[in-house]
This record gives sequence, structure tokens and C-alpha cells, in this order.
Amino acid sequence: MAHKKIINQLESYIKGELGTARQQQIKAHLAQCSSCRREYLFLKQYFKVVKKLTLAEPPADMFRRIREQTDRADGSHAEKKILLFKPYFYRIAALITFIGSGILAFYYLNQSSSLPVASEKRTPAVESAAACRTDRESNIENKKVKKVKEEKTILDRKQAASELYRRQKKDKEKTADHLAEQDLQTDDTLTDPAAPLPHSRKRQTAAESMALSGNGGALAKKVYREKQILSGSSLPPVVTEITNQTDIICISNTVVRFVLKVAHKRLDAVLSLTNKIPDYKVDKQTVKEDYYFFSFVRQN
Amino acid sequence: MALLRLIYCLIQESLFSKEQAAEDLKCLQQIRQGEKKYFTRLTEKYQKMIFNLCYRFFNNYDTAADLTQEIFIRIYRKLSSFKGKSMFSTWVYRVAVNYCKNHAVSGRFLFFKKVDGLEQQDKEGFSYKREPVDERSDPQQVLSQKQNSALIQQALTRLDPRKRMLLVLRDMQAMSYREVAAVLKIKQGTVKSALARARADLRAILTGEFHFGT
Repeated sequence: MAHKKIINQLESYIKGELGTARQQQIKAHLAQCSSCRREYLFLKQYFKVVKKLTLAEPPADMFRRIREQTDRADGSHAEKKILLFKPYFYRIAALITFIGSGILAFYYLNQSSSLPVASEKRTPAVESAAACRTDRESNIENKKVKKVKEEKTILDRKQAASELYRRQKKDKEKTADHLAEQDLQTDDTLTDPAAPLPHSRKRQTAAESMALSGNGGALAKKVYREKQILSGSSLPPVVTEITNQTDIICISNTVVRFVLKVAHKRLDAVLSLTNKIPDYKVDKQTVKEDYYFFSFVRQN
Repeated sequence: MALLRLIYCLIQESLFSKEQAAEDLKCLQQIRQGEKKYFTRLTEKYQKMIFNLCYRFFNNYDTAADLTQEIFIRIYRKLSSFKGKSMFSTWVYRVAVNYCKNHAVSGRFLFFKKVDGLEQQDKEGFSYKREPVDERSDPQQVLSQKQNSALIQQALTRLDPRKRMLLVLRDMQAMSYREVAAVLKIKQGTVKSALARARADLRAILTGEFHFGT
């Protein structure tokens, strides 16, 4: 610590700026301490050289050059900032470049997607590549158009089917009303065993509508045709009992045959029915979605 | 108000006399009013000191001349930023010091030094041809002085810019601790301790590499 303090004061000691007491103290320390003495000797020589250094003369034309430069630097004493060196210049330039490139890219992409690339001079390879690209694009477009058309046709069909269904439903309601009126007018006809029951008639119309709409399938169509030929039929009482329950519907009833639409879960009821009506036997059996269609034929 | 500021500046720093400081302020006022010729007065007044600062700092005559020119143009452009919080001379020195430090750090000087320095250096590698000394002295002493000053200059260039600037300002420009502290914007105590470290480094270079004083 003492060494450091003395080294810091060596300059003042050499220049004789310290008090006599301090000068004596340092002198005594230097006589004892070799490292401080080395520092002192160096500094003494260093200051001797430095003291003799005089100011160097600048070049003769330097002043003239400075004057020329300052004259050129415009009349105002204030620093004129060129736009190029203003801090926000680069930000604005970057922003403009970014926006410009974005607009160009957008324009180019739009142009390339809407129009085929038209260039005067093209190499065969480039042309073939472009042709392939256009072919691919046209194929994709064709596929898209086809898909749209198909969707349209499906929608049209669905609409047509729904319209047809609505019309048939109306017709069915009309015929049901008409039959009900007829039943009310001629009560005597009910006693006739050959005459069909209003209930069965309604079932017939249902079978007809189903056959028309294609819900019953080929079997229902066939039944409908048979119904056209034969007229007048009645279900055995056991069948009417069962069909009064849910999930078993008699969709067709003729003299020799009747068709039941049965839900899967009610299959056991139909199987038990076959034992109860020995004069009828199952002729055909088809499955459609969640239903069975059983065709019972009277045995001769 | 201006007078109070001037007094405050004079108390803080004493690079120049009271009259010189007042003259500087007068020149500045004239320049601000559009009288360009007053800047030439200021240039005349400070060019030698700034040139010597650059010369001692870079140990290259041509570089010092170029840099002095650049510094004065910078001062001219930045005159509006001088608020009068310090003496004008201190402000001028501060601009010069910062410019020299930046120039030294930027590395541009390293390239030019090699090219420019060749013609000034003798076969031993010391550049003392332009070294100004008192010619009336004994020729032997003059030669010795030239050699020693060249050695010191060479060793100075090995120091880092901060230490080099401290030694240039204090030892070669003969500034007081207070003035050095004002120019470098550091405390006087810091100046003293930093100077001691800089001199120790210089001694190590001079005695180790250049056999100074042997």
C-alpha cells in the first residue's frame, strides 16, 4: 500500500510539488526500496525527455484544406443531416421494399394462376414442363367440375325423390280418405268376407307407395303386380293380432299371399307365427337394412 | 447568465485564460449569426494543439494531418450541439479525443500505418525524422533526445488507446489533472491512478523491448 502511494506521488516528487516533510519521507523510502527506486529513475528520465518535446508544426496547407472543407460544408453552422444517414431512413426503405415485394409477388401469383405463361422464347424443356403443368392443372379443374356436377345431380335426384314421396303421400292420404268415405257409405260391404278390410286396404296403399318408391325392393313390386291381378283377400286373425303390435307391418295382402315387414328384434314373433298358421308357409325371405321381409303363401 | 457560465467554466477548467474563453464564446455567437469567417479564427487557434494531439497519439505525421482536418470539419458540423456546459477548448479536445479513439479502435489506422510509416522510419524502425527538438542544444544531446522521444512514441503506440490518450494529454500536452479529468469526463483521482498504471505499462514496454535508459 505504501509503495503504491509513493509511486503515485513520484511525479510530484520529481517536479518538486510536495511539502518538504513528504519529500524527505519519499527520499528516505527510495534509499531503502529498490523497486520504487527503479520506478523513480525511469520516471525521472521519462519526464526529462517528455519535457523537452516541443509542439510539432502542422503541414502548411492543412489550414487551407480545413477552410476549403468547411466552405464546402454549406453555410450553416449546424450539421446538415443527409437523408441517407438519418436513423429512420433505413427503416422506411426496408418497409417500402417489403411492401413492394409483397405487391409484386401477389400480382405475379395472380397473373400466373389466371393466365397461361406466355413467353416469346422458350426452351423445349421449359415448354414441356409448362405443358405438363397446364395439363395437370386442367385435369384437376376437370375433376373439380365433374365432382360439382355429380353433387348437383345427386341433389337433383334427392329433390326429385323427396317431391315424389310428398306426392305419393298426398295421394295416399286422399285414397285413405276416399276409402273411409266409401266404408261409411256402404256398411254392408264389410260383411262380405271377400271384400278387403279398410285396414288391409290402407296396407295395400302403403305397399303400393313403397313399391313405387323402391323401398320394398323387387319383392314388393312383385306383390304389387299380384295384387293387380287378384283382388279381395283377408289376413288370418292371428296375423292381424301380431301386426297390430309394433314393428310388424303387413305391407301387402292378397288372396294367396301376404308380406310382412319385421324389425330384427321382432323376428321371434314371426317364427312363432309360422306354427300358428299352418295353411300359410314362408315363400321368400329378404333382408333390407334393419328389416326382414317375409312373404307368406297360402298352401293349396 | 453567459458571464456566470463563463466563471463556472473557468473554475472547473483552466485550459485557457479568461480572455481566450471569452473570445471563443464571442466567435461562437458570430458563427451562429452566420459569420463563417470566425470559424477560421477558431481553427487557427486550435489547429496546432489538435494536430499535436493526433501526432502524439498515432505517431504518424500524415495521419495526424488528415485526422486534424476531419476533426475540424466534425467540429464545424457539430457546433450546434455545443451547449456551453464546459469551456469551448475542453469541448474541442473532447471531440478530438473521441475521434482519435474511435479511429484507433476502428482498425483503419492499422492498415494505413504500415504504408505511411515506411518512409518515415529508419533502418532501426524508429521514426524521429520529424521529431521537433531544440536545435541550439549539443548535437549529441539532440540525437539522444531524438532517439529517446522516438522510443517513447513507439512504446506509446503499443499501449491501449485509453492509456495512451491519458499519457498524451498529461505528459505531452502538459494538461493539469483537472483538465484531463474534464476532457475525459472522469474523476481526478481516477486520472491519477490510471496514469500511474499507464506509466508502469509504458515502463515495462520501454525497458523490456526498447532497452530505454540503458
